[in-house]
Amino acid sequence: MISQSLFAACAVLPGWDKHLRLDAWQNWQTMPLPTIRDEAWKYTNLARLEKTIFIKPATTPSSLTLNDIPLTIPEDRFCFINGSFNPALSAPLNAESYLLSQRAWPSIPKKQQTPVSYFERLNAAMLSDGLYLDIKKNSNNPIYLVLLQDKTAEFSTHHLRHRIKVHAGIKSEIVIVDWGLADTTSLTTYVIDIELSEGAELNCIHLKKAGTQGYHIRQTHAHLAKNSHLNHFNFDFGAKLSRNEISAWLQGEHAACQLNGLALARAQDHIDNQTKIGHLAPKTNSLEQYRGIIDDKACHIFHGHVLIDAHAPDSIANQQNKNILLTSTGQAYAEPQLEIYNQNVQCIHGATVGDIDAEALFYLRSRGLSDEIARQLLIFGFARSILETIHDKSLQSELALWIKTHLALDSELILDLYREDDHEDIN
Amino acid sequence: MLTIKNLQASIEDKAILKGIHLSIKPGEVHAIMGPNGSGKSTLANVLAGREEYQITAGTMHYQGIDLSTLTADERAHLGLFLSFQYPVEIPGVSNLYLLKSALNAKRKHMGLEEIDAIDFLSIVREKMKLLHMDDSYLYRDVNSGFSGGEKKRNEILQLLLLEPSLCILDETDSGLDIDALRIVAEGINLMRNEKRSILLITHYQRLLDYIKPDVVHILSEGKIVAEGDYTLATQLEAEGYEPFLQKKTGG
Repeated sequence: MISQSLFAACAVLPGWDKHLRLDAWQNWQTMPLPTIRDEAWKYTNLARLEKTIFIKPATTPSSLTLNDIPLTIPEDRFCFINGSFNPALSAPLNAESYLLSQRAWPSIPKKQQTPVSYFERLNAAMLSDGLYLDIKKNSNNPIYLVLLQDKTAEFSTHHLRHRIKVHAGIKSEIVIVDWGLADTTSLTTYVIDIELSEGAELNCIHLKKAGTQGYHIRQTHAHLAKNSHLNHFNFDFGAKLSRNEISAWLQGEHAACQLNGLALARAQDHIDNQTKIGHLAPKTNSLEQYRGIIDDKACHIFHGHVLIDAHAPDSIANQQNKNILLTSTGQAYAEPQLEIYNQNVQCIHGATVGDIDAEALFYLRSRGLSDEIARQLLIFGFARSILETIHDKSLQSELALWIKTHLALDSELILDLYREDDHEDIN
Repeated sequence: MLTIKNLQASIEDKAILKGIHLSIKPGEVHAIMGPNGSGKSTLANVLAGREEYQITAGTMHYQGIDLSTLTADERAHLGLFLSFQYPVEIPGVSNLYLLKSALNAKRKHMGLEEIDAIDFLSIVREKMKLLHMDDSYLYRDVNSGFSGGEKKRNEILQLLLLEPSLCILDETDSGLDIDALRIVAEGINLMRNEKRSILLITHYQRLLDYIKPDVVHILSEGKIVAEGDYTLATQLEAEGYEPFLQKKTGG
């Protein structure tokens, strides 16, 4: 997969601990690739990835512009192209937002520094760059972190790590966009550390479209202090292999998180969502809603682990996973896993895999809607229930158009749905 | 006019309807009453075009057209409307959107242009007033989180808006309290005219106190076992289904 010479060819980030990097490389080399015999990789076979030889590290930024992606990217943004930071397309760096390659890696607790998993070790060894966001001020505008890949990324490998810290009582929003402009064979590992101080609030929206040949493996770790609140949204438009792991640790009393996700898998896409929520303090609250729409021969996996510690009485956890299979060749695996060590908690979970609701289809048709329109409406409605949980209305309608294009839905139909909503604002 | 002859239908090889004869002229209100499992809802669903049921014998024609050749949406375009016993919840689709698409689907079939958004709102609000429904119903997802009574009212709102020529109301009275029943019945009565046919399916006479039918049919085990005028419903309320069922067994 990755040779010693490719590792040697990777530039060493000045801010990155050399020993840590070398340790990680050596540890990675000695660690076997996870196989389907490993519980956490039961449905995701890495054999093909193992056979793929990647030959290039992060490349020099190409001449891409942001007009190449169908999404409005505001000016508060930091762009990485083919794994490298692109200052021309980015907002100025400053004391509160700086590159890992420019300054020392900010202190992270020792325990979190040592990468445990296979891909995190690889990420630590090969790290191309990353951003540190030290958020001390409230802002009404979201910050965009954009990763673009174009066709020159063929057989390259990119490894990014961002660290986001939101200070006490501060509210912030971050939108992370990973966009593959071409269907290149590439491997991206992505580690995101989120730290929310007491009373902090973060909306984090992650949009991913990695191209049909991309391998994209992301690990997000969030640590939440007392009264802090994380709303994390994961919209995945598919890849050859897209793996999203997120862990949210509710460490302080009244910490709360919402983890929502929408997987739109088609063709031969493989989307594997692994979530873990740890309730470690009393009166912590989690809400999780993941949905999948699976077409063609695609596959969606949802594994949701909720841990309620003995020291977390009066906690509430609600996990829901729903999947629609549009074909008989698609696959969906729904695995809730609850681990509860305190009796005084409320825990609800549910998982479904099925076709389009036949009752609802008949209902719409009995009102005069054609089979095709009724189906599209139900599919879009299913996605929309997740889409509507993000508060940003303009991002919501842009995403609706992405979804429309991705699922080849009638554009008039979707536009119309949004026009109807406009009436609500008028009235 | 609706004409049903010897209609037999089954689901998963289980025969439910075993030879129904029924004809409803324009302007008439018919009621079908019968115990649980007699086939009342099956009849409603077969008429509306639910594909899970197989028609094994007989015919059903509406305005001279063989209904069995039409899909559910084509039947709706023809003017048939089924008010569901259990209206379906559709999260992610607003009620306003459904109402407008349903109306536009009908208009398209009639060769009319799509309705203007402002005109539509004023029409739908006028109908909602009749049913004592507030504006919030429009922006909520279709039947999502509606109470039983709210769902039934929402069915009648669609009925008032779409102005079908054949209305089939499947246990519209169930789940309604007395006040809601009165409001819903008033809504249905507003729809009564010399051109429109109405088929009421109900367990109880209660609804028929508000909407007086021209003909009452009693359905048992997939067949109509008795027919009469409104007094038949009164008799049923007093004596129960038993005498009618025995008569069938005896004859």
